[in-house]
Amino acid sequence: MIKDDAEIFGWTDINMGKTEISDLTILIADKNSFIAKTLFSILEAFGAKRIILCDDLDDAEKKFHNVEIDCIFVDFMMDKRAGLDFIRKIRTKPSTKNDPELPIILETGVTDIDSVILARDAGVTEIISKPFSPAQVLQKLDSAINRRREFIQTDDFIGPNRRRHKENNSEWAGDNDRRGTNRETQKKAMDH
Amino acid sequence: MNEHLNKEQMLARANNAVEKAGLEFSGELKKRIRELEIAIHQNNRQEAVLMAYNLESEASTFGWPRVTRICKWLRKIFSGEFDLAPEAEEVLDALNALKVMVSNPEERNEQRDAALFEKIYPSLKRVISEI
Repeated sequence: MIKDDAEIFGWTDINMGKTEISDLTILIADKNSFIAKTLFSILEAFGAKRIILCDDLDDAEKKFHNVEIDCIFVDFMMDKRAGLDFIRKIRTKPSTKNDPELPIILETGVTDIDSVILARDAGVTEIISKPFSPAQVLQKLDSAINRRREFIQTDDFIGPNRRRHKENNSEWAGDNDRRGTNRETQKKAMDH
Repeated sequence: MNEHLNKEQMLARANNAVEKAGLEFSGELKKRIRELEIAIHQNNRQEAVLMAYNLESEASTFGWPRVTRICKWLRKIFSGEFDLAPEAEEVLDALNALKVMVSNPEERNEQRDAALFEKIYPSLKRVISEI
């Protein structure tokens, strides 16, 4: 990789041990031929060489079990919103080829808060809203592959930590702060 | 293919690809609106929702903002997400507006489309306040 790529795109030292976008295998599960074709062309223009296009979720699931994949793009509305079930399956049912932590980017034209929460709780890595520009696709792909969040597995949730990077969280220290000394202060106040 | 593309090269190539896809989309737009119209006339709600959703995404990607908003309206009404039930005539007006807007994609008429949209907007807004 040339220096520029590493600096700008950040393809360095990632968990998968791959450093070139051309090394990635990317699966697109989207029934909308134009958007899928456009996304395909965008990824191809970025240099991706292995792009698998699936227009139904059964096929996408087969690929998940049979092909090593580095990232999946899936449409929210695909097969009557079964895209979310597909994501849950990936997160909960292991495949010999892919681990449950596989980066998943959900494409959606429906961006109301309820839908976003549904998607987040299904375990998506990133959400990209339609219409998307090439710059947005690049940013989401970079974020999903190179800036992975801690993977959480609990009874209620399996997926990337729903909180973003720690450095993005502002330090709040108001009266009701339950951390550190304030927590002690609160406890004392409650004891009295 | 050169594997060592920098970010600017990647984006330039990708923007060209989107432009080409946009031209292809414009060429199919009339047919797609006709298919949506058929699904609506056949009262095939599921198909209408999916078609309207797809058209909404595509039209917004390829620079058809009014088509996007009308398709969003149609998607929402056929998904049952409305404030007041639409009259059949309002749905027909929306469909007719769509058909006129895409009648000649090579020579778009902004003035005509703006006037058409303005005309149906009160109906769209009556049915779904946040459109």
